This record gives sequence, C-alpha cells and structure tokens, in this order.
Amino acid sequence: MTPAEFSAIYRQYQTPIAKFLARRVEFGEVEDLCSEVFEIAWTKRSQAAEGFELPWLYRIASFVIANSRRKTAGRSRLFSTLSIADHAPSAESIAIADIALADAWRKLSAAERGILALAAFEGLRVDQIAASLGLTPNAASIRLHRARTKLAELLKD
Amino acid sequence: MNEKNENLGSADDTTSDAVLARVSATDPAAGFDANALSATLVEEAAARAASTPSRSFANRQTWRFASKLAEAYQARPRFVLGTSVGAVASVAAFAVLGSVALNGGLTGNQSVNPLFSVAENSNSGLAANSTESKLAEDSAIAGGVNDMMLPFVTNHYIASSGLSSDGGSAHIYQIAALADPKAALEKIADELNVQGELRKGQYSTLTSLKDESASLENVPGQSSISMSDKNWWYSAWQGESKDMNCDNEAPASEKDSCMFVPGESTAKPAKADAFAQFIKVMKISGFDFDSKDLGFYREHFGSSVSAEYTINADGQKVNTGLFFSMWFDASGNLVSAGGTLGTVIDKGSFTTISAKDAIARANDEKWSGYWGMGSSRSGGIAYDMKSGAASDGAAGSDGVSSSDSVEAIAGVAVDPMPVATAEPYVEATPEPYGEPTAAPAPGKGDVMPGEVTSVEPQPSPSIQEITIDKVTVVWMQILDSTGNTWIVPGYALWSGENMYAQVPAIQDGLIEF
Repeated sequence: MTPAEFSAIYRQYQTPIAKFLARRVEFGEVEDLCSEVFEIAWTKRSQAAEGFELPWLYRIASFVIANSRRKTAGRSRLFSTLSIADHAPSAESIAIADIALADAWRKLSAAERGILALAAFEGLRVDQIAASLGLTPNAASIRLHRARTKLAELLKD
Repeated sequence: MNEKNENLGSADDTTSDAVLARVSATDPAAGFDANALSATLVEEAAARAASTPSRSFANRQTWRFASKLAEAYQARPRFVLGTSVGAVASVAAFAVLGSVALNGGLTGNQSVNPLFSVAENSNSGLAANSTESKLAEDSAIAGGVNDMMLPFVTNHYIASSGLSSDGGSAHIYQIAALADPKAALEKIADELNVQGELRKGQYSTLTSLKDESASLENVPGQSSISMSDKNWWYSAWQGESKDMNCDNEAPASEKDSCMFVPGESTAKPAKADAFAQFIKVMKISGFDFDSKDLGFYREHFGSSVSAEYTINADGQKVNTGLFFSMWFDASGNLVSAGGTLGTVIDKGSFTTISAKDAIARANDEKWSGYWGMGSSRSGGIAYDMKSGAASDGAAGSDGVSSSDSVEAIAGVAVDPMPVATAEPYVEATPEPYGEPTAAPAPGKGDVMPGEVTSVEPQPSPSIQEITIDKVTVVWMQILDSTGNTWIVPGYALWSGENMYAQVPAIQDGLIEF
C-alpha cells in the first residue's frame, strides 16, 4: 500500500478524527495531533480490522491525546504515568454549554468520561466503542450502562 | 454536529438516551472548523511515516543530536569575572567522575556483567552493535534524517551543592516471562472452563512480534481468555446463560449483547471463596498471593477482588506495579479476571550510584530520555520507593541529597491504584505506540557542530539549565529488549516542585545499551 492508497481509504476519517481531537485538546493542537494519528495509523495499518477503521483510529487518537496530556502534566506530576489515561473532553470544555453537566462530568472517572464521550460525541455503537477501547462488546455495554447511570444519578444531585 | 450524523449513522440508539443527548449537546468541537485542515494531511502523514526509519530510531538520533548541542553549549567560551567557566566545569566534571570511580571500586567482587539489555534490536532483529545493524542505521540516517523532529529545548541538569555523593546498594528484581506462557494460559483456561483454539487477538495493537497475542474462546461472545505480551484476561459476560437480567428498555444495540442490569444481590461469592479462587488462579499465572494482601469490594452489580503484587525485599513490601483482579456478577459468577503471566526473580543486591552521579547520568545521552511508558525503553513506570525499601544504601533515605528529601518522598503525589476497583481489568500500558512523541518540527537554523555537520538544515534548540535541588528514590520498571520487565532502584530529579527526569540508580554496566 502506498501513502496515496492509504490516503484514499483513510481520508474520509480525517474530519471525524479532527473533531475527536478538537473535543479533547486545544483547537490549535488538532492539526499536529491529527497528523500524528495518521502517521501511527500508517505504521500499524495492518492491524486495522475491516469495518472498524474509525474506532481503531479513535483508539490511536486517544493514546496520542493521553501522551500529549501526560507530557504536558509530566513536568509537574511525577507519577502521572500511574493514572489511567484520560482522553475524554474536559469538564471545562463542557461547562461552556452546561455547567451542571460539567460538575457531574468532573465527578466521573476518566474511564467513565471516555466511554460516555465515545457514545455521546462520536456517536459510536457499542461494538465500535468496544473496538475503540479494546474491550469485548459486552464489557463495553456494561461499562457504558454503568457510566450513563452514574452520570444520571450525579445530575439528579 | 458530531460524527453520528456524518458517517457512522448508527448511534441514534445510544444517543437517544436523555443523558447522552445532554452530553452530546455540549459538543466542545462545535466551533471547530475541520475543513480548515490541510486536505492532504492524511497522505502527507503517511508519506512522512513511510520515509522515517522508525520512531524509536529518530528519537534516539534526537538525543544524540541534543547531547552534542549540550556539549557544545558547555564548551562555549564564557568568562565570568575573568575566569573561564569552562575550567570550572571541568573541575566539576572531574569530581563527578571521581565519584563514579569510587563507586566502581566499591563494587568489589560484585559482577558488573550486564543484567539485561535495552538495545533497540527488537524491531530489526539485528544485534544492536552488529555490522548489519550499523549499516541499516546509516542507511536509515541517509533516508530519514530530514524527517527527524528535533527538540527546541534541551535540558541540562546541574547538581545543587546539597546533593549527596554517597553511593549504596539496593536489590534488583526481574519479572521474567514464564517458559511457556501459553501453557499457563491454557491451565487458567482449564481452571475457568474455557475451551477452544489459541488464535491471534483480533484487536491486538502490540508492537512485539513474538506471537505473544493469543486467545481462547469458548463460545464467541460468551466467554474467552486472552493474552498479549505478558498480560492475560478472562471475560465471561454470558447474559441469560448466567442468569443476568436483560434490560428491555435498553437501546437496541445494547440488547444485542443483553444489557446487564443489577438484580438482587445474593452476596455471592463469599469473600473467602472469592479470595480462594483468586489465589488459585493467580498462582497458575506465576504469582503467589496471601489473602491478607487482597482487596475486596462489593456493590449491587457484583463484587471484585484485586491486588497489586508486592515483593518482599529485606522485610519491606515493594510494589511491582503488577495488578491482578477478578470480578463477579451479582449472582456470584466469575465474569472477568486479569493479570500477568510471569515470575519474579530477586537478582540480588547491587551497588547504586550517588545522587550527584544521577545528575551526570541524566545529562548523558545514553541514560537520558524518558524511561517511562511509551519510550523506546518502554514499559517503565516509576514508583515511590517505600521508606526503608532501600535502607541498606544510598538509594535509601540517607543517600538522598538534601535534608528535606525524606519528606519529599512522603509528599510525592502518587496516584495509587485503588485496593478495590470497579474496573475488572486495568490496562497497564495505555501507550502501545512506543516512543515519546517528537517535539515540534524543526525550522531552519544552525548546523550542529561535530560529527553530523553534513546534516543540514538543523534547528537551533535552546539549552535550559536546571538546577536539581533534591532527588527522591523510586522503583523503576524497565522493559528490556527481550520483553522482560525489571524493577530497579532509580532517582527522580526535582527542581523546586517540578520533577524533570528519572534515571536508574544502578551501577554502570548492569544495563547494556
């Protein structure tokens, strides 16, 4: 596969990936990180499961974001590497539109925010979420349900 | 507008939920214009990746380049009050080297044969120092140097006067792979009544190509057991077959997998029974646990047992960063488990370098770089070394630089794993893509002095001098070239409230580069 052939297949995912990134990082960082996502995708293109290219790209993007955030935080937080990688949109970015939701969002774990974001913002099906997170569909379904239930309960408070 | 309306087209079921809809309405990307991005971004990225020899290779060259610049920076003519700073620097360097030599003398009859290698030979399959490897490297330089992304800022560390020059000793541990991990996996599968054929994991993103990724599936979608690298996990969400409740109100896509909703908790399994099963299964994976080291957590969805494996080092428990867990549903059925396949070997006590030597080591390209996860020396995690864990030497509190360092250890902001977690499986390596992300792309600038003057144009990164005023001792996990994990003592270097680097504290020669 040549880069041009790769581009012919993957170009359609540029906008979803860019928006995925835009929800999670500063807009000014999107283009660089987007390029990085597709660089990695090229090097690992043989691992993409047919029909699940976009969730696979989201998975790569989530690692790229986590790396970026970790590097940013790493200078002041020695053990940031021990945290579960948080690649969900921040509560601050949500607060612009819904302050109460932002408060609840902040109280969720990184994993809960991540799976909810994939469903709500990226609009993924459960099997796509599973592929994106490296889970079985059942595990993804359960985690999504629990995260959604928890968020609903937090919003009641 | 988010992607559900663009090309996925199947999210209505999930987003119909009021909560998700409310979240969706706050889309942080609403003001983002994706059309403003380059139309050729994907092709350019692929072309760039295709022409770059390897990200780890480029990263290594980056450090070589940065080191040369640092040397040139130190050698630059500077005069303060009529005295050449270069001369002062030479005296300081001698002092450091003298300390290293002293440590070397203290090793006595201790072997300094390499314990393990972090040479980057796994990708090419060539020995790191072989002629073939160097030829390949030279070829890669010619082909990919223009694509290297070099740092604009290089840190140069300076030891404050309060840092200790005393060395000491500490144990080194190897988490070795089992001789036949697949056989162990099959034993676990037998224990958990999973049957099937080993096959390559569908979503494996491992960079290792040792056929380490495999899985067994009993009935697709019902129960499975998998391994990748040295981790394994079991999943058995069986819906109706395990008397779970299907949520009739659940969105259609979730009905496909029989949405689990909490029923009445049966308080099963009993804590003692859960512990017994945990200990039995984890023993097969190569790790012995005592029930008093296990955490237990129960909620209306079920219950879980989890634990971090610890090493007993001279009477002190040392965390390994290896986490094991089991999760049971509300009826007491095991639905998820995971851990590591391997065995911990105490390689004995070895000499450690002093805090001052650690500063010099951080400035050495061979040692510098990020030893944490995602680097070319991937797999590394630094843990706060528990008080007393290295009390037999300088890596312990006595060996730590300034007087406030002991307090600093206690004050380090560690994110501990919860004793009990709602997550049945914690991904240990969130960065499977290896090396740290390169710094911003270079602009045109000065040509690097020294042996790579033929490389141009080059950026002109600035040198940032950082005075290290304290060090803390940590345990570091390092993944060697063969995939084995090592737990070694290390130093974290601090300036004020910021940590700038981590370097292994073990004596020279034990790690082969």
